Amino acid sequence: MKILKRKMLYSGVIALAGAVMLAVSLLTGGDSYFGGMGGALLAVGLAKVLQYLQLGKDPQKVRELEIAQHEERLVFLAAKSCQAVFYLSILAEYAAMMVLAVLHNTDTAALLGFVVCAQLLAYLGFRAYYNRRY
Amino acid sequence: MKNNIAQLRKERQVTQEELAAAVGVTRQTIISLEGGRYTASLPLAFRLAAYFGRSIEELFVYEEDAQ
Repeated sequence: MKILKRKMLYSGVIALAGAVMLAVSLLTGGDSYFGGMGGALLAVGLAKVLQYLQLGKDPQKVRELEIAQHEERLVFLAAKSCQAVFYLSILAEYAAMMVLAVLHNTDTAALLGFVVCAQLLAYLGFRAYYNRRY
Repeated sequence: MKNNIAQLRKERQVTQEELAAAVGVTRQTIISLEGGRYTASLPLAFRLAAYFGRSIEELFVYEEDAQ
């Protein structure tokens, strides 16, 4: 039940942030992008809160959700997915950097290069940290 | 890594759902273990061995070539 409440709280915060963005956009007559983003966040947050409220009525489902949070295969799958996304991001950024450089958009290419370097440095940092820890 | 989980589970007439609940994993994990697509962690291997009242070596068969 603790996990469900925490998830509900996160979704509530998202919905609240969306409501604030939407309200600010409507009151100030700001750009529609900001309001649209707020509306989307509000809708997603509210939908998740309602989903968790519904889920809370079924103790079996709550137990399954709690198991799923720490279940080793799901943790393994999440780690594998993160790893794949990281490699793909690096490759995509590198490819975009090359294309931008060929198109003489050197400023953006340099910025992208900086992002790639920062990601690789962060990777090396975490690797060194985990190497000591485990 | 091969295992005898499916065989032992059937001998005991336990469903995948019941085994999953007993060892604290999802049914999908039991399916993956039985299908040989996933290798259990050491804590899960111990929990499975304790559930079936067998040793880990009786449950899991280590194949060096597969590593």
